[in-house]
Amino acid sequence: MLGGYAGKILDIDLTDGKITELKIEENVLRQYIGGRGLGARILWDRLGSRWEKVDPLSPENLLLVLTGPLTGYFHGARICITGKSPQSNGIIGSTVSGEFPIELKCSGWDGIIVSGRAEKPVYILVNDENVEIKSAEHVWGKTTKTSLRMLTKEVKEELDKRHARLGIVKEPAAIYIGPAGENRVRSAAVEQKWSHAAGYGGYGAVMGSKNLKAILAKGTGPLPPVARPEEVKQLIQEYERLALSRDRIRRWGTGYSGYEVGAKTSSEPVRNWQEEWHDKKTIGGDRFDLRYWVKRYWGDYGCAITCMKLATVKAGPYKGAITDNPDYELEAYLGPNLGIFDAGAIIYLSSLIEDLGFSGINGGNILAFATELYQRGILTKDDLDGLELGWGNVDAIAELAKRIARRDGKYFDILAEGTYRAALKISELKGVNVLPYAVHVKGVEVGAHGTRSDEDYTHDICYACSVQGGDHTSTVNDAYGDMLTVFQDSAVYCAVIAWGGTEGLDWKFLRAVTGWDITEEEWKRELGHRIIHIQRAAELLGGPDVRWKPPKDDDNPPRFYEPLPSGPFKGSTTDKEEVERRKREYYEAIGWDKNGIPKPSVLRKLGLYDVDKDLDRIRKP
Amino acid sequence: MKVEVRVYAGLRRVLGGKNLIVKLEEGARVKDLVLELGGKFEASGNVLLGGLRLAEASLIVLVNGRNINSLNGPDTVLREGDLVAFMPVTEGG
Amino acid sequence: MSKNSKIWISRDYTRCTGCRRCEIACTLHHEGQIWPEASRVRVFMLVPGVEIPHLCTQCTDYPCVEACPFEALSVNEETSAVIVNSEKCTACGLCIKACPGKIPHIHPKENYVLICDLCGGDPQCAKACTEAGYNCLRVVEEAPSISHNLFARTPEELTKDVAENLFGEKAEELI
Repeated sequence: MLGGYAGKILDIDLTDGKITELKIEENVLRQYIGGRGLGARILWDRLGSRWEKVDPLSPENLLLVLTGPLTGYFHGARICITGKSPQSNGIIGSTVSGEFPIELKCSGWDGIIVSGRAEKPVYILVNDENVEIKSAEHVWGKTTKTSLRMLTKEVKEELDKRHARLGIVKEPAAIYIGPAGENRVRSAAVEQKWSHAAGYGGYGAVMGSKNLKAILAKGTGPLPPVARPEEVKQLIQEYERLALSRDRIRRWGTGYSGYEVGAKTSSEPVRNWQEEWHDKKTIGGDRFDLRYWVKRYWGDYGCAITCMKLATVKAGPYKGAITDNPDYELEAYLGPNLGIFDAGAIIYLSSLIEDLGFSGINGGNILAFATELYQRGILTKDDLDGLELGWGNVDAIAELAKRIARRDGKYFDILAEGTYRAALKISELKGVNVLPYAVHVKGVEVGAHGTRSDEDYTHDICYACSVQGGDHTSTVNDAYGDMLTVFQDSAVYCAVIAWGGTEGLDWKFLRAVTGWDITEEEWKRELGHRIIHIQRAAELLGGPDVRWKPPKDDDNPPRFYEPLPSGPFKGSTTDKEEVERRKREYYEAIGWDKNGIPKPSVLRKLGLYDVDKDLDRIRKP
Repeated sequence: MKVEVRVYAGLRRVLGGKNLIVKLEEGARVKDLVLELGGKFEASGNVLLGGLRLAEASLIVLVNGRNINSLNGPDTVLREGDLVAFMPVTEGG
Repeated sequence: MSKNSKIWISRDYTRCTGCRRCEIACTLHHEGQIWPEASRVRVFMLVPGVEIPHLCTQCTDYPCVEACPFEALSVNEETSAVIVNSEKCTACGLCIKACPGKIPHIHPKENYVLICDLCGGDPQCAKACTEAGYNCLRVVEEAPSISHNLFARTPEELTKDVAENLFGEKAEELI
């Protein structure tokens, strides 16, 4: 009996409505664990042999919603969303926090695979062993908050009827998309609760392309048993001790970074990354705390850090806006990166972005990209159907977001394709190269931690060689230490506990929950590598519209080579030679050849014969 | 023997530079280099350099691109011309 | 706290963080495993951000005990908690109907009702909550002088009040 796992995964084909049970072999689970890792394995099994032909927005793509063995035991609860990414055409493990993974595991399922496409908008309801596909036509087109409210209510009413003798039934948990996902906007997110988003990867668009509005779950069982229950109980106590000692993150969330990152480390994007410094107009947690935070500690299942905050505007032009935190990323991307320095406005845009179902990072990046093109006169008022963009023009930017979400016009349709693809198209249409203004890595818009000052994220390959592109939560370094994020995304739990070290707690949990004898060493030298190589193969084969060709495409955005024009690190920039040197070091360490392709010997040693064969399709003879 | 030291981010202020050449005895280990730079290792494995408390932000030490934890930890032996990098763990949210 | 004093769990819903560690503590204590739906205190989230831990208030006149036709419910004189005799309980649901807040609920697997027993005098849920500094659920030594019945309200009612407290006018469209 495998500890920590329910032992089965739901396999749903929306084209014919077929619902089956999938059992994963123990030796596969031992290698790939769950979440990102298991997702990569399943994707490669089913689609690897023709990867470059699969359109991420077609019925052929898979949406995978997977927990991991640590979900529910090593807190806070998260779930991993993956599939073929409409952004990078690779595989990205994108996680989001909330109670949905708990309801799923308590229903007796480790995850859900969705294939095909429903004829009309639907949602999936999982209630223990009962799984139904129900119509979502009445919520299609509605904002996320409204959709969540309506679906939660109707399912709760249904469950109240079904289980009338039990007393009041607790509400189900949900993952869902907004209008952006419905319209297959490539930066669309999959959300939980309010404002919690799996933003990277564009999986909201994958759900939209399947006409899948949401998945709701209510489980009445216990979490699956663990291998060594007494030890797990002890470890939970240790986790609590550690979590409760993290004063700063508990009190301020990641939002405290705002001022530090803008003024001190000079790595916060300002006006589409044209600068990375601002001073007088500080945007840190202090700006939001007293005026807007109605809950200073807000968390998900089992979390003792509860670093999230609930923010709402009670007076003024943005009255009624509600969002979580905002966390640092959205503070930056919907603030200084848009030339906005007003906390209330940031909450408003954050609230709007979430209501539309955009990723704050990826979506925010596109808004800034468009605004820079407008600044430079490349995009005009005519192009934007009368919209006059401008840095700090909150109303215009809000309108832009709404039109992109609905693909409401020629250039909004183009921008909905994401910064990179929009840059390609606009360059073509306008006859001017706008790629220098596109701040992305491999189609994934870059997280709000710049590298030019070298005071925050390092100067070199952290984004450039990542299999998840600009995803700032999955950066690379030495092919060893950076395997930790791969583990967090595969065992699926919240990484915040790891900031400051966990004293090996994650590995102890893994062993006590599953009963397997997996060490940190084994993960960092072998298990994590398998997952990275599969993701790398996916990234390199790419397709059908774009693919990445390293070593050239293992690089930072062009803007990251422009010297910083202002601030305490004025003049500083990324050293190209340094990048190339570190790249070669990394390829050596991870086992990729000089073209950045995983070496046959390395793949075979790890048993990845199929991946090796598939990569022959791009290896030069 | 001489080793090349690359220092990233906040440490540069402490160590007074980005690229340093440090003279060490033959057979010196990473531990000795850290001591030479004015730091020490904590029991937990974290590195303290100068007056800068780095206990909250774990530091990564690479030798020729390899994390010392995948080699021999602080006891990793250094050779002439080795490139040792000190870099912070990226924490983002 | 003296062993013989009656205790009560005071609840300050605006402080609930949604961490659900009360549920975890309760079920680890009573069921030996993490089992959200078997918790005597259940955290409802009808509106995100408006988390409501729903648990027995030890009504002064114990309407649930009165309503039980099988004498499966009794009162622990020491702690003032309602005690469920799982052998006698038939899961008929009359106690749930009698409760002003519809708080009791049937065990998801077994055939008896779940009502908070104050852990025999050392409530684990409140311990988890106060240890983390949230103080939503807090053990108070002396029972308040007003009727506990006033605190027994449904999750819907509580959600409405707290939502308005947090969001003002906007609350109406969120519920």
